[in-house]
Amino acid sequence: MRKFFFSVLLTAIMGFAAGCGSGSTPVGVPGSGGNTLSIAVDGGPISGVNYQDAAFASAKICVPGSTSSCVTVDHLLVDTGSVGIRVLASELGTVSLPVTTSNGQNLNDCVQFVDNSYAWGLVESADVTLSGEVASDIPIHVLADPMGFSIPSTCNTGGPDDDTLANLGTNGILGVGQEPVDCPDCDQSISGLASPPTGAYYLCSSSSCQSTFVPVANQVTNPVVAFSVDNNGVIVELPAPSSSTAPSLTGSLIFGIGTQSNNGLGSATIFTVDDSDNFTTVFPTTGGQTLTNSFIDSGSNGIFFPDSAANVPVIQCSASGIAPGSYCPASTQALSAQNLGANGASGTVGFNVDNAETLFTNDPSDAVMQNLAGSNGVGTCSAGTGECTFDWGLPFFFGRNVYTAIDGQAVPSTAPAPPWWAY
Amino acid sequence: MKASKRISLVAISLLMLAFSFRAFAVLGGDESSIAADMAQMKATVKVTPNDAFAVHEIKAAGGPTVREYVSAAGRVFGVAWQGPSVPDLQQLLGPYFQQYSAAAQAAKAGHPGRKPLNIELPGLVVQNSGHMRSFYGRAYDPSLLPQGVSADAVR
Repeated sequence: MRKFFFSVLLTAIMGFAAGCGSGSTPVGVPGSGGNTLSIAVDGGPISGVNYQDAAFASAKICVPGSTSSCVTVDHLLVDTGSVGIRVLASELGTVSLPVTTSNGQNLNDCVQFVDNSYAWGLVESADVTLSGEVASDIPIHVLADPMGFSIPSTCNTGGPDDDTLANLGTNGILGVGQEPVDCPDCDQSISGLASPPTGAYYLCSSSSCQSTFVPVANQVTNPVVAFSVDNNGVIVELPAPSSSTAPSLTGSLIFGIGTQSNNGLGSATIFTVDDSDNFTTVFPTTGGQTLTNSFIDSGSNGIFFPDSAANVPVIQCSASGIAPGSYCPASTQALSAQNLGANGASGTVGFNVDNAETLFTNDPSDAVMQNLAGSNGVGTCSAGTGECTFDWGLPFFFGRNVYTAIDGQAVPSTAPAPPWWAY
Repeated sequence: MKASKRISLVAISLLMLAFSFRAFAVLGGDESSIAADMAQMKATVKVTPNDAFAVHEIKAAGGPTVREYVSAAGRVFGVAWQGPSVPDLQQLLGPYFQQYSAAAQAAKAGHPGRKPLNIELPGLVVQNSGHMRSFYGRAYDPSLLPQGVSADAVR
């Protein structure tokens, strides 16, 4: 459903981006230069609140074409499970970006998250600098509640409204997932749908909104595809923590796959995905369920799997305790699962699960929790319905270099066409 | 009795198709709520009856596919969804919405993060899974599950 040819947008963006790219690192730009952006698992931007197992990075956001109307926003969640830059409007300060409009109405975007939180805001254009790479004049999502009308009920899921720092938990999201844009199916020329998808893009007057189709060129864009080089994917590189919990961890987000001396595939195994950008995880490896909607996602802050799987000795923590929805085994459990790519690739992954309540109690300020896991539902998976998701969140990334290749982009000839993951 | 119920469900579904009724039933509501609450969605409905319950699969234009589980007694005991967005839960959960909404907001309070929704209250279970623009989930009232029907049926 997400496959489409991306050359039109790419061509348009490359026109803007000509002359930029890796190799020159402007002064004052966040990151460590070239195609390497520094990332940190440091508990997030809110004092006194520990956002465990989340990696953050900084981006410089400028009015298109300007070198002075700029702001550097820190603590953007590094998210290989979503697409596009989303930033709290409050973080932009006095930098006023141009709003995307159509027929005099403002284009708004809605994004819903798996915890049923949701975020709303205008689509605005910006030049975005990530270390030495520049994405020129791309649509980004500026998160703020609307004025003059309520967020439509097709967006508002009844969960937390993530248009505030307290609810979002971060200053924004750096979505560098497998698609070039936020909602390929929202482009009618791609999806052929009769009505625009709900819960995505809306054109709004001063008092009301309606769902709308949006061509890919106007959609919130994966910044990576807008780079002039190193634009086919990313590698998240985080070392293994020295013990299962640690105060913090630092690593790199590398742009490009097989484009520079520092981003070759090496011996990584490639797992291609289905049309919903999922692969299959068999859990447990022996005698387990075949979970056909599984994925790797740096934006999930733990490992999440259904707790109905046979012979898995984990139980959920108390619903009224400090870690509802997480797992609370009596002792550390060593588990394993097998990942299967659509291309037939397979690999077994071992991991441990600790008692989340004990982790939160004993290590309240440790941002790195290698063995934090939680429930992804209590039903069974059958024929693709039910609880069919194994979610390899950030702990999976500790000690691994994890590649995310973007749909429609060119990759080294030895690799299959994206989208895929490799590790 | 069950055979006649099946017939009536099919009849209702044909009626719904014939008159282009729109939108969803309400969790906990009776079967008539499927027809009564047909406000805004351009939906097609497919009804699959079995002995213990019927499944009304509703595909609304632009929205997720919603499956509603109706007991032989004509009560909606569960709803499930799959698609690019979460359905309008205020409409779908009806009288359960406030309880769900409070729990969903409490689940995240003081604990930032991104993880699947998993609300298990005595009279309401709501779960959501998947990833951005590709979700599936379900909600049901355990006390309304027909005898011999497990929660696994709601999917």
